Parts: sequence; C-alpha cells; structure tokens
Amino acid sequence: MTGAAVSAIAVEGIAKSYGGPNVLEDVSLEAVAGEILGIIGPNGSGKTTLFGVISGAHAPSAGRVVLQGRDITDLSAAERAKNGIGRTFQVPQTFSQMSVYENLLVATKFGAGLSDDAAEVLIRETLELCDFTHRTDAQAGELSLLDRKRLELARALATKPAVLLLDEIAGGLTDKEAEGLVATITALAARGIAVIWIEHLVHVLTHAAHRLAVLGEGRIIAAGQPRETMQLPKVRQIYFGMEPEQHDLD
Amino acid sequence: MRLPSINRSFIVLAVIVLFLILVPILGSRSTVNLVAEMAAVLAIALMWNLLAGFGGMVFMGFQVFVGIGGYAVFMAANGFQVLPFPFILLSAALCALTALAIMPILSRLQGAQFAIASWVISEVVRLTVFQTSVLGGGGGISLTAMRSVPRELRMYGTYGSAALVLIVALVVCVFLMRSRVGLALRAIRDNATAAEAMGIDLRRTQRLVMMIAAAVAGAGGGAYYMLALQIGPGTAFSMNWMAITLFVVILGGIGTLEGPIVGVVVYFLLRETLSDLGSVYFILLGLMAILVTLLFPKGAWGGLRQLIGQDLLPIRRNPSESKG
Ligand SMILES: Nc1ncnc2c1ncn2[C@@H]1O[C@H](COP(=O)(O)OP(=O)(O)OP(=O)(O)O)[C@@H](O)[C@H]1O
Ligand SMILES: [Mg+2]
Repeated sequence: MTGAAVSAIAVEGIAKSYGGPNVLEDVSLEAVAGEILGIIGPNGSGKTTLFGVISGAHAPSAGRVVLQGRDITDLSAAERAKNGIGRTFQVPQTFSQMSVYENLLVATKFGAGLSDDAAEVLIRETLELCDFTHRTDAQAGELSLLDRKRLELARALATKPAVLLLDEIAGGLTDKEAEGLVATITALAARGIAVIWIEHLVHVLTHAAHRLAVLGEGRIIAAGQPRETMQLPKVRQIYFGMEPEQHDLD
Repeated sequence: MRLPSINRSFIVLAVIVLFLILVPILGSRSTVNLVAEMAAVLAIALMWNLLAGFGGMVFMGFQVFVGIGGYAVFMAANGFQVLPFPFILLSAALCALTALAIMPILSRLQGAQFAIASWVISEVVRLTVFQTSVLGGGGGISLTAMRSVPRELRMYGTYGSAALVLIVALVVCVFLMRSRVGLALRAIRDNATAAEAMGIDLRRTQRLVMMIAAAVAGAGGGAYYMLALQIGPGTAFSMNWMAITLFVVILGGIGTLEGPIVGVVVYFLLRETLSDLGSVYFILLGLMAILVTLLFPKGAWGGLRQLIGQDLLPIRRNPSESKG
C-alpha cells in the first residue's frame, strides 16, 4: 500500500486502562482502504482491547479514533457500526435465540441501514460468500463453535463495513479451510474494505496481510512488511519466547 | 395447514376481535363486565410481557402506570363532569410521559437493580398520591362523573373502552414485534454487546418500547377503574397488580405473544370458580403456578404449542416475508 492513500481508519496515541494499569499505551496505527493489516501479539497484550476502542465498546483513556478523516472518538458503538465499522468477536457473540437469517437481518437493517428488499439481497450474497446457504434457518445458539465464528464474519460483513475488524477467526480451521478464508478476506479487501485482522496463527497473516503490527504489553513494538517484521529479533523473542508451539514461518 | 406467518396473526386477531364484538351482543350483564375486566388485565399483562419477556426489562413497579392511568380518567372526568371514556387517551399520554421521565434513571440499571428501582418509583408515586388531598388522599375518589350516566351507556362504554385498549395492545404487540423495533428489542435482549456492535441504539429502543408499554398499560388502568367506579392509592398502586401480571404472563408463557392470552383465561377461570374458597384460593393459585412452570418451563402456551405445532402469533422473521 502506498502512503499517499487516505487512511480508512486510524488510532492516534491510544491509552486504555480498565481501572488498573494501562492495558494499551500510546498505540498509533492506521489502515487504508483495500489494505489488510495483521496484528499479532502474546495473550493479554491488548489486541482485543484495541478492537474494543476502535469499535466503541470501550472509551480510551487517551488518544483519538479517526474514521475516514473524521474523529469518531465520542461516537457510540452503534453509531460507529452505522458509519462503517464492522467487527467480529473473539468469543462469538451471535444472537443465540435467533436464526442465522435473523442474525444477518439485524446487521443489514441497522448496521447497513438497508430497506427490507435491499437487506434480502445483501443477506443472500453474504450467505453465499460465507458458504452458509444451507443453514439459513438454523438457530445460532445451536451451531458449532466453528459455525458461530463463521456467522460472526458473515454478520460483520452484512453491516456493509468500510473497516472490518477480525478477531481470531481462523482458529480451529483446517489448512485448506484457512486458505479459503484468506482468499475470501483478500477478495473483500480488493473491494476496498480496510481489514484489521488479529490472529494467533502467524502463517495465516503472513499470507494474507499487507502489513503486520506486533503488540507487546500494550505497545506497538514493531510494524511493517509481514515476513520482515517476523524476522526482527525483538519480535522473535517476544513471540516465540512465549508461544513455543506456534507454527513456524513458511 | 401452514399459512404465511403474518396471515396467521391476522386470523387470530380477527377471531379475538369477533369474540369481543359478540360478547356485548350475546352475553349477560355480568359476562360483559367480566370480559371488560379480562380485557383490561390482559392489555396490562401484554405490555408487561413486552417489556420483560421481549425487552428483558423486568419492571416490577408496573402498577405505577395502572394507577396513574386510573387517576387520570377519574380526575379529568370528575373535573369536567363529562363521560370518562375518551380520557383513557389522557391516561396513555400521561403514562408515556412518566415513562419518558423515569427512563434516564432506569436505563443506567440492569436486572435486579432495574426491577427494584422500578418498584421504588411506583412506591414513591403511591405515597405521593396518598399525601395529596386533591387526589383524595388515602381514601381515594369515586367516579362521580359516572353517576348521571345511564346504566346501559355506562356498561357498554366501559366495555368498549376496555375492548379497544385490548385490541390496541394486541395490534401493538403483533406489529411491533414483527417490525424493526421488535427485531432490535429481541437482539438487545439476546446479546446487548452484539446488538450495539450491529448498530442498534439500546437506549432509544428501550425508551420507545417503555413509552409504548406504559401508554397502553395506562389506558388499561383507566378502563379497569372505570369499571370499578372507585380508586384509591392502596389498590391502584398495589403490588397485587404485579402478582396478577406475573401469574398471567409467567403461567401463560413469558416472551411469547400467545402466553398472556392463555394465562388470562386460566387466571379468570380459577378466580371465577374458586375465589369463594377464601385463602385456599390463593394457595391453589400458587400451587397451580408452580405446577405449570415445573411441567411446562415455557408456560402453558409452551405445552399447547407442542400440541398445535406452530405459533399462532409468530414473531420470527423468515426470508422474503419479513416485511411488517
Ligand atoms: N473487560 C475487562 N476488564 C478488565 N480487564 C480486562 C478486560 N478485558 C481485558 N482485560 C485485561 O486487559 C489485558 C489485555 O486483554 P486483551 O483481551 O485485550 O488481550 P488480547 O491481546 O486480545 O489477548 P488474547 O490473545 O488472549 O485474546 C489483559 O491483561 C486482560 O486481562
Ligand atoms: Mg483477544
């Protein structure tokens, strides 16, 4: 990605504490339209918290969130969703009493703000894209964990996001399924969506991401071209030092 | 036979409306009064179910709207010495405003705190009415405006008011729950975090539903006390209203539209046949509630639904018939 492109989403000098010490400290990042920005970091380094701050679930203690040039730090999570921020949850938060169809209906009616007819079309497209057409009527609460994660992705897409935040959606997939997922996300980015993708499976991100940022104890400790970033000694140390069983780079 | 779900709702609504029209034509005086009372109670229960069953807002001081609705009719009709019937609109308006006024406090609370706060608010209003002499203080007031009204007009007017409130309550439930607002309400109840992340404004949705429920319940309270001709703070703001509402909604099936309808029929059947038994009647009511909830965790309607195999007033949205 070129530096000349306008940023779709940016965070500037973000700090966040849940009452105790800062969980995020002076975090600045940006992603442009069409870009896939990967984020890795050990457990508890603040990745999910960063998504909470971007999506409006958590208010930061310092810093700003900027969506397409507009400061959205004071907007509610609902307003941000309407303005183009779509997210998935690491622990699936599907509407368990609703059908797959109704889960997507909520996203299209409120997040995307579509009329019934337009919603219908988008839901069908999304179901096909996420390979869910055979499960439309299934109750979300009765799906397997893997299927609920897929529904998370489908539902986030059904809000018609300009910025898509993915929090560990590849865990538990076979290599072949992970490849399919990378292809899907790459295609979405090619349509102009800015994707920020948290994943513990480093090899997935080195395939998919244009850039990689590494979080360590709430700070960005490295960012850049994925393979180069992974070769940095401080990244290897923090990452492989703590997670010896991780997949190696290919 | 499986009809498209909205048509099924229309048929059920039409049957209920037909029943409500036939009662004054065919029924005796006491039947008409009984059905009027049932209609008012059912309207109130449907609205509580809308809040608690669909919206997850367990409003334990719901009698506040019954009381304010009742007092509004009495004060206005007595003040002008005119027919009281149209003033159920005033009841509705006042209760909607009350809901609007208390929502900033309640929307900060959840679960048990919400329930207790709503009950405290109701108690505050009851005590205030108790201390206010213009409102008749502790002794209450009678509907003097009704004295000069001919008996027939009094009966049919009251019945008509209660029946209308019930029809409005049913139509509101069916259409609201199938609408965008109903979808939002179900989503919030299901998973508030996800609902916000999908673009749903929690507070706005809850405030709107709260105002609607308060308005219709207030009109129900107005109709109910027109029938009683007498109102006082001890009864109108009594926790007894909550007991009846809980019985009707939970025994019938909370979080369904059919449940309270079944529940109100069961409640009045028991009351009309057993209330001569005195305190044994209350024990029987309690046992009945326990038994049904043990046998049918989803209420009496949950059991019936298994027999019928389909919802009569469905709210679930399916592809290409989701309009409404
Ligand atoms: N709601 C919360 N309240 C208090 N502390 C929290 C909360 N959420 C997260 N934390 C703490 O903040 C820190 C960062 O957590 P976060 O979930 O953002 O990390 P993460 O990088 O996503 O971890 P993982 O890889 O395990 O998903 C952790 O120490 C965690 O215990
Ligand atoms: Mg996380």
